[in-house]
Amino acid sequence: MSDSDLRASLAGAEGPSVPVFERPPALFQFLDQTEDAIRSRLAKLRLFDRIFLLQRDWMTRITMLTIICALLWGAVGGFDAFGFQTQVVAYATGSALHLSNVEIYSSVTLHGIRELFGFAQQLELAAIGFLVVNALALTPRHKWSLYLSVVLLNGSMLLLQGPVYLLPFNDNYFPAVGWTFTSPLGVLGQSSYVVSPLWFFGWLALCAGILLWTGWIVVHLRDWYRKNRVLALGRQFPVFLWFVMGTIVLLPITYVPLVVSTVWDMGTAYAGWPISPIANQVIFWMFGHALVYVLFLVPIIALYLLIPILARRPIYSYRFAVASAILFVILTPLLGLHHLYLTPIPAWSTWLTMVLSFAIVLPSAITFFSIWMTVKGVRADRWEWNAVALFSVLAFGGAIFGGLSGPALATIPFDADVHNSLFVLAHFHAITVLAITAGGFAVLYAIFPILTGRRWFSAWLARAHFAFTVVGGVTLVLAMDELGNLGVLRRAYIVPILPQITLYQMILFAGIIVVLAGQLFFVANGALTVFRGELYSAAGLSFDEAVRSAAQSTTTVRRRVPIADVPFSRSVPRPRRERIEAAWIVTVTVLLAAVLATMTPASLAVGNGVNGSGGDPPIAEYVTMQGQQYYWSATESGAIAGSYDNAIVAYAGTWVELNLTASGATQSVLIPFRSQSVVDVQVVPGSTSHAEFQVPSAPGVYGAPDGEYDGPWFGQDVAALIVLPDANATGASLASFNATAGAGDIYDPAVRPAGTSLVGDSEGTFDASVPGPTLAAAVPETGGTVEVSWEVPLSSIGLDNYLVNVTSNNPNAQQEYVIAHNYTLPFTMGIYALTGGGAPVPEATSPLVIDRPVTISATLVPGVYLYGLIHPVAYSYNPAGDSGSGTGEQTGRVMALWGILWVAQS
Amino acid sequence: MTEPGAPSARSRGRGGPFLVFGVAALLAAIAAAFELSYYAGNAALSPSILGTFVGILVAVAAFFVWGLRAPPNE
Repeated sequence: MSDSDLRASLAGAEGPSVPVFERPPALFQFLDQTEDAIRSRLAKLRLFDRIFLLQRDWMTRITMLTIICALLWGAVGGFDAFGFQTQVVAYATGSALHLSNVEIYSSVTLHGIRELFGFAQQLELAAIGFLVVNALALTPRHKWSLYLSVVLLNGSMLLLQGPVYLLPFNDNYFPAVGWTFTSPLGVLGQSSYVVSPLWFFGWLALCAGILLWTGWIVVHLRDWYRKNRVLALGRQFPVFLWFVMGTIVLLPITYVPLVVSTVWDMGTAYAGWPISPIANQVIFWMFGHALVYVLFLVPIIALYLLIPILARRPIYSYRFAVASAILFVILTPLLGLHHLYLTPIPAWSTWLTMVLSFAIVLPSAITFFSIWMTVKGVRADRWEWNAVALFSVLAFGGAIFGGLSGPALATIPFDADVHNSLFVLAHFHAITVLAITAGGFAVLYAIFPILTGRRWFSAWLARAHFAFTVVGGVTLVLAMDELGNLGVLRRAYIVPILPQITLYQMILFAGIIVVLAGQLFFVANGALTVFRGELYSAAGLSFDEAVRSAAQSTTTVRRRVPIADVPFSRSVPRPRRERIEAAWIVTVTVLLAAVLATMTPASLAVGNGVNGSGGDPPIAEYVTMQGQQYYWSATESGAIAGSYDNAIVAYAGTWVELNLTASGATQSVLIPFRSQSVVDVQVVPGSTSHAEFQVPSAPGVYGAPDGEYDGPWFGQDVAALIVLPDANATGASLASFNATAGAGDIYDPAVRPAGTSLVGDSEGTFDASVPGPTLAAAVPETGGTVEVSWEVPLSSIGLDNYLVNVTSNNPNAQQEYVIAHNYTLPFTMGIYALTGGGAPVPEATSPLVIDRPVTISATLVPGVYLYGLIHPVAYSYNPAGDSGSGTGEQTGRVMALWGILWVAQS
Repeated sequence: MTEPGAPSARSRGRGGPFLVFGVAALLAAIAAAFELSYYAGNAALSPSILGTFVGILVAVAAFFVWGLRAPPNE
């Protein structure tokens, strides 16, 4: 279809004269008139006219508006990631943090939401709408439905960021709950961290917008089918259209569960409906996972659309490509449970989900083989490396890069090793940055001149955009991978300060900066194109020729490949091509079956929260743990009896059984060993989880962070596995622990001499470590004096320090409170004996005094002791009385100013 | 007979999209294997991943073997 025909058909949507009985309802007439009045005034301003294409037909205007909104949210979401990583790097380098913990965590939340929905999802809808209308030569209808869907989608982005108080200014009610809201976190009456109702309304507005758009596109496809019924039945649709239809089928399947999950949460919060967090999470992940594939279809649609156009030949195997589209649609809604492998759900269900997760490798395998084979035989002098081709090859490679770690993550025991670590984020960002975004840009470079009527201004800016996206994207993905290998958790900014972690955090930051800088080239090129680009006309061109012509404005070589369609006659018969593709798919199927058979025994052992015991080990220690926001309360029986906060105590080499419950948020016991099996089990409120594991043979202190984000004090929520020497060998030193670096767990606190003076920091921890450094001393068998020294500077007291429960819009209020109370807080620090049974027994205590060095001493026999503030303190954020069910609430009990004192026999 | 000034058959094939897409796939596979090699090479963690890791490597090899053996899209 030619561009002039297209414009004529588009203009027909607003035909000047229609019979009275066909006139739109009064409301739409009013809206049309209002829009025309606004448009005519804004069109006098060149800036608005050129950017928003105000003189063009309504379909073009809305498409352009949607693309601009998508880019805007992409930029804001990118800035969120930048802001978050500035704080991560600041913490890792010992610099001051300039954002509160709510702001830091909400940056990650909003980064995910804005990039996934405001940018990627919105861009996908804009591109699909434009492509379908153009490729099928449709006359667009229902302008105000399309407008409303765009308004709802973008309005949802505003609602999701939560309330902001302007007077006095307070932006600490942003939602710090994760881009997913795994019930009950954030739900009033169920969690210590409560979000504003705007959060839920935002999700519902998003769903309404997406579902309305789905209805809009379905109406147009129905129009096309009615006009071309005879033709359609005997015609091969373009392959990309099969994937477009797949997307349209998946959208309601994806977003309706989100409606159910959101309404359930709202009913629980505001109408007292019964809650079942695990059922809610299962429903939520029907959305959460399917969304990934809805977005993953962006690069796939881009490749199936653009590669045949650029190569001037049809796809390698039409039938296999269609089978791929159908398989994606069938399998996508069934995989959500693989996000819940470690929760207490039946092992058969997680195993079945693993099988289905392996199965979705098949449509991907078909797709990337078909795409590669489609260009086989294309001569170099008949192919042009313009921006469309470059971003297509990036989407192709990026999807393979990210996709190959998909089956690994679908393997249940491997998921236990890396669950919630930055390794998962490396996989995710390889897909989102290097595949989804790249595919989206490939389409944008192809359609932007058609949309704006102007050729791209600069091919070199397009190349710079490509180069920066590749370099930055690969850098950030590999940096996340290295951090994940070390065991660093996603969303975490309070991370052990180790040289290798700091290094990779800085490399990650550099990657983010390069990617963001690269997008500036795109924005600059787009702006220059609409203002100074040469006029572009698709008159007389086919759709394919129009795309080639548009793409050609982004090539830097002088010699151009002709854009004209050329007749293509097959010389290789279909059976020959399909035979080799079938062989490839059979190979993949056999491999998947072999991997499944190999990994099934280990997978069934991990399922249902049982961690690889491989039978019935002789349990020596039974631990009942209750997860609170933000600490664990543990009660032990067996070889050691006692009650502790944030500590599990066991003898070296013995087997421990954990019985776990939680309230307020889903929590996780994670002991990220690297020299023995990782312990990783999720605990969902309302359910009981179990884990069995063998304690390391080296006595020492092993860090055990809460692996599941549970609110703004997540970083302080780290417990310890305290491994005592054999019961008959008390007084052992930490020599073997130090010699083996524990079990490779980065969260193991550093070991320091007992005389070391500890320093409290602005996050309420000792020496940026939770637990604090393990202090080592040696005394005779009969006992000796041991000292513990610390200082909590006044400068460490502020909004992020839970020790002072004073919240105010006055940034000095916490320090003023300390000064007014004679520099003494109402908490008791001390040294406590651990091995006496029952609760820890105080050996020496002192009030928590601020801004003064403190030393306490006690005469101790060889053994293991706790030091510091060993019980959680209550915190409630409520400046100016703003907090409440309509705004948001943040309460909880936090402990991070503590550690272990290890007294060996000298 | 080749026209004077026309690109030779050798230069026509150099830098063609099949080669470039193949190199992109190879680099992507190497990067993914590098990511997983940390776990596959760790004695304590490899039982969780070794089977899948080997499966992925064989699949990547098969991708190139079948791709190179396939007839062109002509």
